Amino acid sequence: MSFKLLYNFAPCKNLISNTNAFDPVNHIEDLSFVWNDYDNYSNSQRITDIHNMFNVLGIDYTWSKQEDDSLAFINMGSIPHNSERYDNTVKYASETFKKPIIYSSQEPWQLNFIEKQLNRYDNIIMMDNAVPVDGKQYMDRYKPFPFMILRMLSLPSNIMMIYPDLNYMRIKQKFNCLLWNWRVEKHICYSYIRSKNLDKKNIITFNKPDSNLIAQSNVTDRLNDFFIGWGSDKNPSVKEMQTYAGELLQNADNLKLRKDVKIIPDHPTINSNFRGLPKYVYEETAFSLVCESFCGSTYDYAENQQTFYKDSQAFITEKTLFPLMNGHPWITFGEHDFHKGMETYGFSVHDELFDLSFDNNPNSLERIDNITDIVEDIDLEFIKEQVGNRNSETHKKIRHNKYQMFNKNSFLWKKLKLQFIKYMDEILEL
Amino acid sequence: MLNGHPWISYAEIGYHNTMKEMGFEVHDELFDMSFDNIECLISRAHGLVTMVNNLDYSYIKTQVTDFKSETRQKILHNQNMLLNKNSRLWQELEYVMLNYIRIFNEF
Repeated sequence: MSFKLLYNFAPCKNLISNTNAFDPVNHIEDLSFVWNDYDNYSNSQRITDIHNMFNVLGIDYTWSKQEDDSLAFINMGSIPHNSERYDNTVKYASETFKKPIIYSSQEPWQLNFIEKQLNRYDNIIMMDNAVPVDGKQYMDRYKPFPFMILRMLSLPSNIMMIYPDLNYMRIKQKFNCLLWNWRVEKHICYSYIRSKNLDKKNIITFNKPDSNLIAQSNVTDRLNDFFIGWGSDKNPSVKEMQTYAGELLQNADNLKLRKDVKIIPDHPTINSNFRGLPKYVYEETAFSLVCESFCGSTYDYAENQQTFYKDSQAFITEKTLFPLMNGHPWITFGEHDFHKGMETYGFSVHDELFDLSFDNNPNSLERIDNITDIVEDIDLEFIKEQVGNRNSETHKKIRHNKYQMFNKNSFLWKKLKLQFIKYMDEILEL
Repeated sequence: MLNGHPWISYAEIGYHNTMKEMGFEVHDELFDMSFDNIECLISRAHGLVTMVNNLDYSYIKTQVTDFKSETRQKILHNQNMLLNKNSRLWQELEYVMLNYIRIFNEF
């Protein structure tokens, strides 16, 4: 099976450019300047990575100028989906192409936003970096797909530092928890870690919010909304934690790794295309406590205290995949049913080390409270023994998870390929 | 090739031909490949360097810059060969490996 990918300017280039979607009224010129382009050095506008996604899945494609039987992918990169720039680009795409597929292999978009765009333009299809739910999809023009799993094994998408074999006999601390880029869920994770004094003997990174960044503005409101949304008004101990987390906004210090990998020459401090950590982060800790991204795809909690996923479920990103690929045990503070979601993709979770009964609790604050209790209570000697023994259940799972990621004939890759081809067929039939 | 850069190699005799047999495209639109079959490795090196010395760099620059050029087509083809796990290259590698494993099992 082979698909045709539409191109206009040149193969492997985005269908839209900065000047295409120029907004003369507001003088917005950089409408298609996606985040991944932003390296300051190359003339890399018009970046698309859709062919890299086909490549890594092993799906054949050719580039075509005939729109009728081709797939017209518009790469949105990391343009914030609540921005005018985003709106203008979608509008332009809708008016210019018959059936544009607005996609990002990097970001998830919120469902209410997706619904709004789909209602506004009846010829667009949207694909974001989200994990589809098994079973019924409510919106036939929304195709969530866990692109991040693909990006991790796509050479042109990410430069990955994967250690072929860790030394599991050097463990000194329980866990690492890397919270470098401020987000509200990371702040909450850090607050619980610190309130239980877990920050002292483990490897933690943390960065205070930068109000110049859209994702890091109005932090006090965001934090309070998160706490109130999960019931802090009804629970004095949670209210106390809310106050503590609020104080940390002011008085927490940045925490850095004692030694970090340096990206030379002169690349930005954080480069979304380069993922590498020093080996000691894994070798000196028994497991990774991951704080995943939250995509807010749960429904019906506010009204009925019942939470279910509509179309997309808990978000899987490099944050969990990176320790997994490096052969490091992991436990994740993600959206509810995150570990269950990982299992549906063929991964093994470390329930031989951790009690994962918190996983299906819809209340995020209760989950992080449970997780931090678990990591506080776990016996370092027990976990050292499990991780140090290459014949243990833990190592069986480490090997299994690596197999899932790296063997292209694994359940994971078969599932991803089938899902993607199904989407493409459905789009062509629309 | 992975980085989308035109290439030419000083290697064993017939190297570029071997690459073609594996499914890669060689840049014979840019370079005279007649040196590739010279048996003597010193003479082969001499042939390669002489050819590179005589290249018209403005012509090469045009070919590399132009998205529609034959050079760019070959760059895309070679990247696809290496990066698409369903390419002829990967299919053949899988076939060879499975054949070896069958032989090992029968041994």
